[in-house]
Amino acid sequence: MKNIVIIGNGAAANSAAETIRKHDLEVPIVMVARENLPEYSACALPDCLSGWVDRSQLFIKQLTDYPQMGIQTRFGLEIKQIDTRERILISDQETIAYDQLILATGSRAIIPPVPGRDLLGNFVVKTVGDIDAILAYKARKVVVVGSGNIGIEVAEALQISGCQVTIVELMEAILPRIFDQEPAGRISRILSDRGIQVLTGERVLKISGDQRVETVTTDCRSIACDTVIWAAGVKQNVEVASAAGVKLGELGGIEVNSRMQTNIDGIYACGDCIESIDMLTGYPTLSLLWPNAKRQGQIAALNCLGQEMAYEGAVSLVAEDIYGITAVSMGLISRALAREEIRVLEGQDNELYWRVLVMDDRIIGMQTIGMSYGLGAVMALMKNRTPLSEFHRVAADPDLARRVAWYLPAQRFLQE
Amino acid sequence: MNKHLIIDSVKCTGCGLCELACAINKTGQCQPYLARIKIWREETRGIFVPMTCQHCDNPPCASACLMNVITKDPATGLTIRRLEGCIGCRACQLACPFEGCSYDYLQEVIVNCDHCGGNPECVKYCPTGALRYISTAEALDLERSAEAARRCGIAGLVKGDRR
Repeated sequence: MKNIVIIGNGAAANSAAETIRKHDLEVPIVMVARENLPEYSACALPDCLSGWVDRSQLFIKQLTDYPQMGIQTRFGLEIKQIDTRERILISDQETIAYDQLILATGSRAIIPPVPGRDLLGNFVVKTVGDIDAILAYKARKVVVVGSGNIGIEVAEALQISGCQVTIVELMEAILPRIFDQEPAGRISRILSDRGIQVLTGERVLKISGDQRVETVTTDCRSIACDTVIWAAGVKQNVEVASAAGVKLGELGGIEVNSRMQTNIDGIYACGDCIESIDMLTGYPTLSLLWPNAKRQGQIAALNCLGQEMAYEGAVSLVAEDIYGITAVSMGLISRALAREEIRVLEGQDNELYWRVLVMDDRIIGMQTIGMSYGLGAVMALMKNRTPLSEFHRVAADPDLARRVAWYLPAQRFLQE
Repeated sequence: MNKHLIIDSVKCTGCGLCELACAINKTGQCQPYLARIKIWREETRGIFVPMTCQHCDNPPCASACLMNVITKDPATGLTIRRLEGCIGCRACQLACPFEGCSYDYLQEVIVNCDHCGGNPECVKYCPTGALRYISTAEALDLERSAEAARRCGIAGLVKGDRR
C-alpha cells in the first residue's frame, strides 16, 4: 500500500497528518522529526518564559496521540539525504521508503556572524529546548537583539519575570515587518513605560566576556548584561531538500505551486520552509505564521490524496499582547507598499488607535492598538477584496445593510 | 447539524434580553459584556443585529488558533473549544467576521456560543421571535416560503418571512 511520509512535526506537518487521516482512514502515515517531542505551539513559547503559560500547556498533542491516530512516528531522527529516484529517506540510523513525501521542515532561528556569539549566555527562542535552557540559565540583565514579534514578546516576558531588559533593533522602529512607524512608536512607548529600554537604529557589533556574556557592544554604546537573546530572524530548513534537487525560490524557501507541489513528482511542501503567494499582492512571500502553515498543510494533504485544491494565498495576521494591550496587524504595511499609491485612514478613540491602508479602493492592511469590535469584519472585507466605495454604498442603504449586517462594525474604521 | 440558531434581524428591537440571559446562564453575572451573543446596535437607523457564532463548516477561527483548541464536534456540527488549552491570544476573534468569539474576562479565555447544549437560553427570553432554535427541515421550510413570497411580491405576509 502507498504510504505518505511527513518530515516535520510542527503546525503544517500536524495539520497535514490530521487532514490525511480525516479523509483516508487507511493510508499509512509516517512522521519524521528531529525533536523527540509531541507537537507544541511555538507561538506560546514567550508566554511560557513569563510563566503565564505552563510548560505542559504548550503541548498540543501527547506522544500517545500519534499511534491513536494511526500515525507511525520516527522522532529524534534527522534525515540526511532524500533519494528522489528510489523514493527513500536516508538518515544515520535507518532508511524510510516513501511513495509521497510532504516536507514541513520549518525554519530555525539564526544568530548573525558577530564575534562572541558562541559565548555562554547566547540564546534563541524557537523550540521548547531553548526555553528550558533560558529558564535554567537564570538571566538577570538581558539584551534582546531584534524586535519582531518574538523579540517583543520575549522582552516583555523576561521583564515580567524580573529581568532588566534592553531591546536593540537595527531598523529605525521596532516591529519593522509588522507595524508602521506610528503604531510601532506607540508600542515602543508602552514598553518604555514599563521599564524596557528600547534602542532603535543600532547594530550589534560584538559580544564580549570571559566564557559568559558580559557586554554587548553596539555602534553607539556598550551594554552590560549576562544574557543575549537573538530574535533577529529565521532561515528556512531547506538544505536536505535542495541537495535532493528540490527547486528553491528567490527568497530562499522551497518553490511550490498553488497545490503545494514542488518541482519533483510526489514531493509536496508546506509551512515555514516554503515560499507562498501573498493573497493581497500576488507576489511570493515567506509567511512564517501559524495559521498560514496550518492551511498550507491542509492543502498539501488534500492534493497528496488526489483531491485537487488550490491555496488561496498567505495573509498575515498578527495579534500581540503588550502588557494587556492587544496590538493587531493584518495584511501588509506601508513599508512593503513603498512604491504604490496608498491612502491611510487613521483614527483614535479613547484607548483605541487604528490605521487602515487602502490601495486601489481596497483595504490592503490594518493595524490597531487596543481591541475592538469589527476587526474580524475588516479582515473579511480585506480577504474578499471588497471595494470601499461598494462597502459604503451598501452600508448606507438600510435594507442592504441589514443583509450584510456583520460587516457594519467595520464602518467606524473606514470613514474618510 | 440538525438544529440551528436562526437570527431574524428584522424582528430584533435591541432589547438586550438575549445578552443578559446568556451572561447569567454562562457566568452567573448580569453583565452583557460577558455574553456570547451580542447585538450590533445602530439606533439612528433602527438596525439591531444579534451576532453570535455561526458554527461555520470550515471555521476561520479554527485555522487561526495558535493552540489548536478549536475543533468541529463531529456529532453535533458545533464549533467547540478545549478551554484549558486557550491562552487568550484573541487570534480567533480577529479571524471571525461575525464577532462570534467573545473574551471571557472571568476565565481569561475566548469562548463561543455552544447552543447551551441544545436548549439555548437566549431563545427562551427573546420576546419578539428574532431568535429561534429550529431543525434543519424547519429552517429550509422558512427559506423556501420566504423566497416564494419574495418572488410573488407578497413579502411580509408569509409566515417566517425575513424580507
